Amino acid sequence: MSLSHIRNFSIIAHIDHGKSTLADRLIERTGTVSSRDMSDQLLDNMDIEKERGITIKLQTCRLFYDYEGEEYTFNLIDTPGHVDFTYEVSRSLAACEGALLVVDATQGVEAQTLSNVYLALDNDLEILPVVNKIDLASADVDGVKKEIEDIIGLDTTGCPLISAKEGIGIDEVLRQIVEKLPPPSGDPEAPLKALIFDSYYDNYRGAISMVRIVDGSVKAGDRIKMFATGKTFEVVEVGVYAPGMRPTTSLSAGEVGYIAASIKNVADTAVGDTITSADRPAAAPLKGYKKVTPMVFTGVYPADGARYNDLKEALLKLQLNDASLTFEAENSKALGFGFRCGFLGLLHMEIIEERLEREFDLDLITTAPGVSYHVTKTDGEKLIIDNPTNLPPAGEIESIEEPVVKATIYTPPEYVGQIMELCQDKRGVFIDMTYVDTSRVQMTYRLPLNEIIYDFFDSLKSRTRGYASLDYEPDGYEKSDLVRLDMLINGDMCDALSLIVHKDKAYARGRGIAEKLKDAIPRQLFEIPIQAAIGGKIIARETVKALRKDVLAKCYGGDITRKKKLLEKQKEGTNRMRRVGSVAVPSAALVSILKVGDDK
Amino acid sequence: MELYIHFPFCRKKCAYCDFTSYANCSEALVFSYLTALKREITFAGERFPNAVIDTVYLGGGTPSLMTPREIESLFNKLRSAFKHFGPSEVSVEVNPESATDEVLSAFRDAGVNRVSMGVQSLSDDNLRSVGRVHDAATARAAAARIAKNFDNFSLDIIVGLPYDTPQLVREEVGEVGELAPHVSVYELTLEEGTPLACAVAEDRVWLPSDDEVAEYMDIAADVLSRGGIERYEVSNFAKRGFECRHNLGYWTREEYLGLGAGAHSLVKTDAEGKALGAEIRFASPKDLNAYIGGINCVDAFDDVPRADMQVLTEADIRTERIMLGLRTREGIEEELLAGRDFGRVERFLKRGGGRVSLTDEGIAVMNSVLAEII
Repeated sequence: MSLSHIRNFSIIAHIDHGKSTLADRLIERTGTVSSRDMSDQLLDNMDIEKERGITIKLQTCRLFYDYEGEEYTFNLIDTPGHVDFTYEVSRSLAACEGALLVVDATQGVEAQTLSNVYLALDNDLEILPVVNKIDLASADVDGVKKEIEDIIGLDTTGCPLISAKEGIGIDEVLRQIVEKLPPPSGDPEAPLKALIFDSYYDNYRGAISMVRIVDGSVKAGDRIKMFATGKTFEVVEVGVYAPGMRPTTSLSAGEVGYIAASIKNVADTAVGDTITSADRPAAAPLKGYKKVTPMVFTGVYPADGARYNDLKEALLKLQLNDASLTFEAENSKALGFGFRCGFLGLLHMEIIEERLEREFDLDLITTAPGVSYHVTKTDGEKLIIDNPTNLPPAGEIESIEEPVVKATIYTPPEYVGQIMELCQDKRGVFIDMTYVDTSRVQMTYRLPLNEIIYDFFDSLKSRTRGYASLDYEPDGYEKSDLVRLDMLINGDMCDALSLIVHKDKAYARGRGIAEKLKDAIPRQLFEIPIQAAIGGKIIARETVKALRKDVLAKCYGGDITRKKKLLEKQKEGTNRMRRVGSVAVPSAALVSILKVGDDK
Repeated sequence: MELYIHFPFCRKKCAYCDFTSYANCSEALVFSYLTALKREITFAGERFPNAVIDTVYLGGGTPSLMTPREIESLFNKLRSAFKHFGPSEVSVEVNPESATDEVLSAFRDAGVNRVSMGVQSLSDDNLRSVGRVHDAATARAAAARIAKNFDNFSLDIIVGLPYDTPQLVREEVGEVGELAPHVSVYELTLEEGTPLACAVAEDRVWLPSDDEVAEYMDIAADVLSRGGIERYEVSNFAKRGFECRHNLGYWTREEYLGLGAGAHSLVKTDAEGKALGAEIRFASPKDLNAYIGGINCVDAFDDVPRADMQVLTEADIRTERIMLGLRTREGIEEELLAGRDFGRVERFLKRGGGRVSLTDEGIAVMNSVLAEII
């Protein structure tokens, strides 16, 4: 196949601007999938993706397009649209020569529009702006075009004005893909260099690498080598997505497809790594590989302790498909046996939890999400702490560093004051503020990640009536005045509720959690003091009063059986509760306490 | 042996009631029911020919809705069915609006020597709010009629009703305690699916909190105790010698037969009166047609269709002895607790003389205490 007749591109957009809908239309219009077989948002495979309208795992699809009598091959590489998956986005973009930038005509340029554009520019992509949702009454096509020109600096002359939902302007998009996006280059005779932009686990074929062949070619029977691990495998099958897996005899420079090589572990097909030939290796890998590390940590426990092994199996299965999910066994006095899991971000965490509950039918109790701290002890030892209970006593700590992020916020100007207040409250450091035009301000702050994952996003949305958008990237570690906040129930520490918080926030958080606990713990035979403590110092106290009435008053006509059943039910209920010292705490109570961000 | 007889008809169903009782039934249905009930009594007499009947309790429903003829006929049947029918206590439940002189005389003539009346409250607001047919004046008048006809009678009060206040509870309990040698004070129980439970769920009715109800119970116990009426069971208070022997039988696990729709039995003996080698609990169907049909299509007690048949294990019996015995002032034998010390729960227990009973505080939270010690 001639390289000049190939176009590899992604669609980039802020969430909800219509990326997946446009992808569906392109697939439909090129006849790749008949409209009869179209289910909405074809590229979003998982139920959660369809429900949330977001892309989690990348999908790619090959389309054929007839342009002035000649057949062109399009490889559409979908990208996840969330800040948690920035690295995956950047690798998918690296597999392309061009990108369609979809902007909602009713919303304009948003934080993720920008961050995605920057990623595309970093990868030297040709960007074709597309204005979507022009059919809506609130569409401001000219205003949005001007924003794209002013903020991003892209020429919008003749750019497609479309409604992906109504199928308006799709042909124009297809035509401009041929005309405006460059074909791939690359040397089919050179040693193999294939960029892994995603990987997943297939029950029959093992770990599958989704690749863009940059140089050389690959076919079944070839021996390949992974640059990152040095491991070698024999290729069993190569093929393309059309959109289902379709084997081909080979893949060569400029093409996009998959390689199956009986690889047992997705960790061996790391996103961003370069595949080369084991027999004729390339001299150097492609640029840009990095190992992704989890940013957000939480303890995940089965509500029913007996299902620990089911949870372990489920995590192993999910990890097969998701090398960025990490977990290790941990043990909590209050919650029993479970796992400390690491995630790329909050959304990633929510998705994994939801999949565990949905696909594996598990009831989970998860501890408050936290980040990983760098601790230097007074004796010079350095620790990485991702579970608050492992934090050494204050006296042994020389310093603690916490991860910080650079956050970019786009907002209409009227909310600037509110956002500054919020960022201040969240210990943010102001970096920059620019008016991108009269209706939009870009604000940049440096913020502790711990604050972002607590309730920043929800607060931002509620303070700006949903108008502000947020994007952030890791920006190193910084020393901070952090303490461990413990909750004591009847004098016994409930390890599942311990948190690492900034000293200035500890009192408010401690009080908030104590109040919530007081409401959530049912009254028992004895008064139950609930205390928040830092080190040995009590900073807040609430009391669950002793139960005063719990008796079956009447016995109707000697109906003892019913009484007995009620008693047994009560006993079972108590047995199902978690024990914190001598106090029975219902799992539901712990779950409600451990939920993020609603204690105000 | 104790006999419980159920009369499942009411003029109107109270908002809190989920017991086996039916309102607005035809005379024909009442007639078929009583016919079936008497048939069951005959069966019971044949099945337990040697049983010595100690107590009889005619409950409901509203037994005071029975006509004098029906009353006479029912008790005649009891006397003819059981050879050894000479109970020392024969109780009947009545409602204020239907406890007329005529009905009370009929009961007395039939051999009833104890009457229990559901006063429930002496606040008209309370009575109306839970759909009682009577008002406070009616209840007072009926109590006077009962006192004229019977030495031994009981008046019931429910605490936890919507208009209860500490003052009201003190007054109404004080008043019934002056009239009657026996008083039952029940905490209102919200039963799932009852009109009252729905009203509460929909915020149409507000009930006192658990803490308030606990306080009312304390007030009631205190007021009665000053009048020499002592608590001998969770909800029952009496002057010495006026304890209800029939109800005590439930807590001490005497053998009893429940005759009528929805009635429960505990059977321990065979036809010769010897131990069966097992203890069996069972009930009759609550549904009237199921009950009547079931009785009419069989010829012997053991063939009557039953619900909830349960053969008790040793463990069941031990559990029952603890949970039922601890309801009473006498408590249980200490050995039932196998020498265990219950740590913090001990403060709710009174131990002495080889027996264990609950303190007043312990009685109020009895379910939680039981959950710890069983």
